[in-house]
Amino acid sequence: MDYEAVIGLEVHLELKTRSKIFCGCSTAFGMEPNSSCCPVCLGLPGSLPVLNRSALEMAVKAALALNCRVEGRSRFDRKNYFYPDLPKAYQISQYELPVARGGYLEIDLPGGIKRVNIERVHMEEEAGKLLHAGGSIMESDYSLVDYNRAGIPLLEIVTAPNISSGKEARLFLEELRLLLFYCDVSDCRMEEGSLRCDANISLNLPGAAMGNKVEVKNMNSFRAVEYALDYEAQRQAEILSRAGEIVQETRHWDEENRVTVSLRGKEEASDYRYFPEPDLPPLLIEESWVQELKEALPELPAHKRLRFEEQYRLDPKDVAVLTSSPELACFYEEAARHVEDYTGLANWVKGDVLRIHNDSGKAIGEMTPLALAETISLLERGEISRPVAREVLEEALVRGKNPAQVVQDRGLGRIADPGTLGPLIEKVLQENPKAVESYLQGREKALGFLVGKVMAATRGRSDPAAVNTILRDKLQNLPGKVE
Amino acid sequence: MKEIAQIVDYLALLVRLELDEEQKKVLAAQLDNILDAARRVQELDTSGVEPTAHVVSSRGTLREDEVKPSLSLEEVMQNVPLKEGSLFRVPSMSGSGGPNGPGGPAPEQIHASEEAGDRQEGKG
Repeated sequence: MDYEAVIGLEVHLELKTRSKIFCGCSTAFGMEPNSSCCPVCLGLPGSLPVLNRSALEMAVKAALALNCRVEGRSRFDRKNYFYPDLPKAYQISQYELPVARGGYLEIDLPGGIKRVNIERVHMEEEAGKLLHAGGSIMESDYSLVDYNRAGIPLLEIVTAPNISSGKEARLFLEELRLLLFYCDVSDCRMEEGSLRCDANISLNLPGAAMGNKVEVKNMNSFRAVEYALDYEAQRQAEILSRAGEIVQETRHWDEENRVTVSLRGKEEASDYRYFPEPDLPPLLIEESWVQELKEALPELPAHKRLRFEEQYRLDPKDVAVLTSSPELACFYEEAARHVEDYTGLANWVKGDVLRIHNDSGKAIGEMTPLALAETISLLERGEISRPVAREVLEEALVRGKNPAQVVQDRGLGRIADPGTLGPLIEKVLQENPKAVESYLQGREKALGFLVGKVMAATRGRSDPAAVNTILRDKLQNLPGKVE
Repeated sequence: MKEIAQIVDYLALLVRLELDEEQKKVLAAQLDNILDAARRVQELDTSGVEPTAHVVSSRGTLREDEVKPSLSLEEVMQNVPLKEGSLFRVPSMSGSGGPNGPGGPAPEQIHASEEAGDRQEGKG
């Protein structure tokens, strides 16, 4: 029997504000433990939270990008639980009245576009970080707490249960991350914990009622989400196919053994005793402000991809790379204003520009697109050879120099002058008697070899056509050549 | 009183408090009084009255996203009964399975060997 998987995701992401959501403590990563704490985020008596304007703005931007309805009136609630990662013993969250509801995000599947519905988007505060000391994680002697992260603004995005496979879940997360990059609201680094994802999954036969759902946690990469959900779907299918019953529970993804594991001892149902946060007034958002933010949204990835395909007539695969970050897309477009061969340009950007970025660590946003356009132009005008062009581009992008200037300063211009090439070519002929002989015996290939030697001797700067002509000429007139 | 005793037990579990029988009795009596007061409020006819979680209707103030000085580490640690370096030390939370809810950053295990010494001391 073929079961259908019904998957819903809960994504938590840290908003990239400078200060925390309700106080002025820094959100910087990697600070000394507990050095970014104040009475508000430590929950000391008498302190009062005040909402960070940027956090709200980022939340609204993300909600709009997800096609959600931003609520004019929402509210913060206290979610009460006693665990040492929360200094206050409650988390300020939004329960009944989230900041936004009812959106969607589209993902590209082989069979077409699928719309994943978003149920709600709400703001809350991050918890502190627990470190477990001694023994294995399950048997540590005690725990240590760092509250630097307590109070960093979080956005929780909850999808409707209309994801059908691990792959769809991964594609959704990848598209979501790209969208949030574009909106500049989160770094979405799963390895630093700035994006986390939990999933609910159940199985049912087509048309039948939904089965018992299992919550899967502890997935630390997008791939892990895909594997964990596929594993879990298979596990549940096996149980159901032998008429077993799915236990409604929370399971952890065990990355090492590639299985989900039941979290025993967590049977008690959660009871968070939510109630309206008395320290914060209701959150009223003016429609005009929402409208302003909506109009200020950048072009979003899906739209940009379509436009790139049409405007520059590029292959979708190239477009996916070029639009993988707003900076790279912007770099391409700026350069494209000065270049005619869009596909050629795409190859330069995908290849050399990304390589230079990776090798040098220089941010794409700090590179000058015009330098690429000018380098290509020097190459097209025959002033430099391709290997030189790559060298010039690197120098121009990394050091912010003008390509023509780099060519001049480093004497990289193309050498076509017979007076310069002549002696070089003669030297190559003397050093490669075998190749000369072979050419004279009629092997045309040997000529290519000799041209290559001359090119190498000038580090790619010689003009191949000129080299070819002079080389042939000299070979024809070799002293001692048998006619 | 049986019902109220159960409520006390349940609440004690939720807030992770270990209460002895005497304390439970005292708290049950107090809680009963509080619930009585709430029951009296519930008797009021509130049909047509909107739920009023907040008495203020003003738009909340927002703060600008500016970093302000935090407390010094000394101040943060001032009342901490147990610490290790600049970290708060608490009973082991690893086996107890954390909260279902907010899903904070995944707990990390401490591997650094130089911390082993401290740990031994702390234990003794």
